Amino acid sequence: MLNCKDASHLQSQSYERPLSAAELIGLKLHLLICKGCRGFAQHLRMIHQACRRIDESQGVRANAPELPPDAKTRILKELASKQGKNS
Amino acid sequence: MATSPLHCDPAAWLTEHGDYLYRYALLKLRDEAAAEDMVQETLLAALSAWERFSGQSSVRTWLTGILKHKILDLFRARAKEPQYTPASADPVEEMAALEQALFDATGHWVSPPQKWADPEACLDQQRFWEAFMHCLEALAPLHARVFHLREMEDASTAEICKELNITSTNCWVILYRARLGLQNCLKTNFEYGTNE
Repeated sequence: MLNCKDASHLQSQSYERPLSAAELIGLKLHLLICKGCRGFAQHLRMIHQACRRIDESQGVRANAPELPPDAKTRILKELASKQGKNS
Repeated sequence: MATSPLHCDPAAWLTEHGDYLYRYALLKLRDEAAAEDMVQETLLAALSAWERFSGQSSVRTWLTGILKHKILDLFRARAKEPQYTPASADPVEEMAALEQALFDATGHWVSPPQKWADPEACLDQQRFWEAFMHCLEALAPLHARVFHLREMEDASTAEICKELNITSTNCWVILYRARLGLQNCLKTNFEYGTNE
C-alpha cells in the first residue's frame, strides 16, 4: 500500500510521464481513501494551470516590474548603432 | 498591435514590448541585469532577422520566440559554469529536509493539504498571483530552473536532462520537490476557503 509520500511523488511524476498500470492502480486506491492527497492533487492542478496563465497574470499583478529607463536608453543606442551599420 | 508588421521599427518594439519581454525574462532568470541583457540581445537579433519575419504571427509573439531561445542558450551556457551548479550536488539529499517536515515517519502528511473552495476563482485574484510569484521566487535556483523549463517552456524531461546534465530520476525528484515547495508555500501565503 502506498503512503502519502509515495502517492504525492507519483502524482507529481504523472505530469512528466505516463504512469504504469500498477502505479496508476496504487495511486487511485490511495486517493480513494486519502483526503489529504486529494487536496494535494487539486493544488498540483492549480499550480499547473497557474503556470499556463502566468503571462496574462502579469497584467493582474500590481507593481509588475518594468524595464528600467537607463536600460531602455542603452538598448536604443545599441539598436541605432546596429541599424546604422546595416544600412 | 500598433506596429505594422511591414515596417521595421526597433525603437517601437522596445516601447511596445520592452516591458513585456523584460518581465518574461525576469520571471525565468530572476536576475535583473541578465534580463536587461536578454531584452537587448533579443531586439538586436530581431533586427538582423527582420527580413525573415513573415508577419504571420504578431511582433510580440515573434520577439518572445527569439527571447525564449536566448534564455535557453543562457541556461545552457550557465549549466557549464560552476557558480550556477547547485551547492548540494545531490537533489535527493536536498529534498530530504522538506519531506521530513511535511511527512511523518510513516510517510503520511503531518498537515494534510485541504481542497480550495473555488480553485478557478483563485486564478482571477491578484492576491493569488502575488503569493504565486512570491513562492516561485522562493524556490532554490536549480528547482526554479527545472520547474520553469518544464511547466512554462513545456520542455520534456529528456530535454531538461540534456540541458542540465542530470538523470531523469533526478529531474522527477527536482520537479516533485519544486511542486511540494510551491504547494507548501502557497498554503501559508495564500488564504483560501476550504470545503469537501
